[in-house]
Amino acid sequence: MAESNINFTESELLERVWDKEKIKDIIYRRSYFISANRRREELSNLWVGEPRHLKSASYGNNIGYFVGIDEIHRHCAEYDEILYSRLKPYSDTRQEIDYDKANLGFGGMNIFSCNTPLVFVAENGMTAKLLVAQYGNHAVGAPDGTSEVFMTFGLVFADFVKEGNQWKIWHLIDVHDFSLPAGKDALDLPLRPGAEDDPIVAEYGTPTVSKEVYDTMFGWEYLYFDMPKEYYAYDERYGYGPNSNMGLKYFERPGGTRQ
Amino acid sequence: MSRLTKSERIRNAVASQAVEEIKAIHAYVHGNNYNREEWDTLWSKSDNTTWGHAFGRMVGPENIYLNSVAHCDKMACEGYMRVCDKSSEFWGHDIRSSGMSGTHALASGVIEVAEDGRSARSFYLTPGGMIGNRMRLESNNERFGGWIWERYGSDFVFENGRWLYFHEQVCPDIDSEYDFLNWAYDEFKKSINNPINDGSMGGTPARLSEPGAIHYNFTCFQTVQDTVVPPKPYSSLNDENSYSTKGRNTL
Repeated sequence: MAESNINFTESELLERVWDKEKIKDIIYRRSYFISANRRREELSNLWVGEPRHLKSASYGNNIGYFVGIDEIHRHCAEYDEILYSRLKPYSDTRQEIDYDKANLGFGGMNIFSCNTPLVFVAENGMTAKLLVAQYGNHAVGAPDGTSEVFMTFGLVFADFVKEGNQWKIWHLIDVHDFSLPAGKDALDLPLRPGAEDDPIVAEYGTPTVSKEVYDTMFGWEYLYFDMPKEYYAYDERYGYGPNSNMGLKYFERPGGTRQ
Repeated sequence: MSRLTKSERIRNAVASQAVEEIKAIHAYVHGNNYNREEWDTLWSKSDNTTWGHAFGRMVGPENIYLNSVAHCDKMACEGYMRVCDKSSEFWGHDIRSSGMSGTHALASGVIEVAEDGRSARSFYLTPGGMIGNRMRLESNNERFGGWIWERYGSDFVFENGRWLYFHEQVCPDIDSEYDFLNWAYDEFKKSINNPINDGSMGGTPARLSEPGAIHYNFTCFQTVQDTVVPPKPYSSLNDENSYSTKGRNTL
């Protein structure tokens, strides 16, 4: 249901309007950092920084959660290994390209654009929830002329928390649907693609907490229960961290489906 | 400089975000087959509520509910049973939403809120994706990685303290498969064989208040259609500022 604003003063309404635009701004900036392979800058610029939030910060994907900011950094390091593997064919064959951190991203492009934003700020103004659809493009080329190019589809769910007067990402889940290969019939893909068919699956890494967050086989089955709705204050059951209801059948959700 | 007072501008800024919210909720629940949840909570129950597509227009909540909820739920249930015949894994999963993962993504939104703050209008391009195992299994593996681009013209009203959908005009333009077919050539061939496409894309509803083509899909033999034009600043909802027909612009 669309938000009812009858409880707020004019000043509060203005602040909430501003808050929603700032939150959208953050997720769009995240797209930039991810696409530019600047994931650590994404974390330092856009994610929580206050000590009370660092251990509970989490990044999730289809197979689980990286819990705590250190673990999210570890995932960045895992992803760097993938980037190094893409760099190596170039540095092996072209003298001017050093096998160096500065050249990570060479030979590849992952661009994720966000659309269809849905944002709710908690009635108490301290947290917010967001959902966007994420349409992307993944392209990797090698010096021998081989390449893999896919269009990617998914969703992003995120909790934001206010630190001082700034909004920060607290929990975020990249839900991945499918990667459709360029120049090929998508019908040739298996119903549930694995790492060998889907480059995004190959990038999932080793989460701190393994959990089936999303199964591409059954799609957005629980989207209505998971999507942001009007709410008063943060409750981890209805958020997007590792203790949330994400991935659970509706009748398995503690507290039911209310928010 | 706007004629509106500061309070009115704040009111209209809030309204503009409410329109974004409604459009986004629609995009997600529609892509999920959760039609009842949309029509029960996002739409006005006025007799002048309308929902138009290329194939015609539904008028009033009963006609809209019949087609957009009851008819669609019936198709979803029948489709679910066909899917389960192909993949027994689906038994026990949501009858409506399992296997669905496409959406009419929203882009290039233009939103105007009336000066009187009682209505709003929006225009969006929708570069949608039609992907999901349900579609694939239901179609006997004929359809999976597809896309559909449309345009939306929507009117909203402020009723009992909430913003609600009032009119929608959907204009499907073109669809094809992602990066596998030569869609431009395919459209050319379609145009040669069938110059006029009356909008069967999207399926045929059970019963329509006002049948008849409102919009034609893309072909090589027509100019770009201006079925829905982005809204201009306006003072209040009326026949001249509406995506529906004359006489349907009061609650």
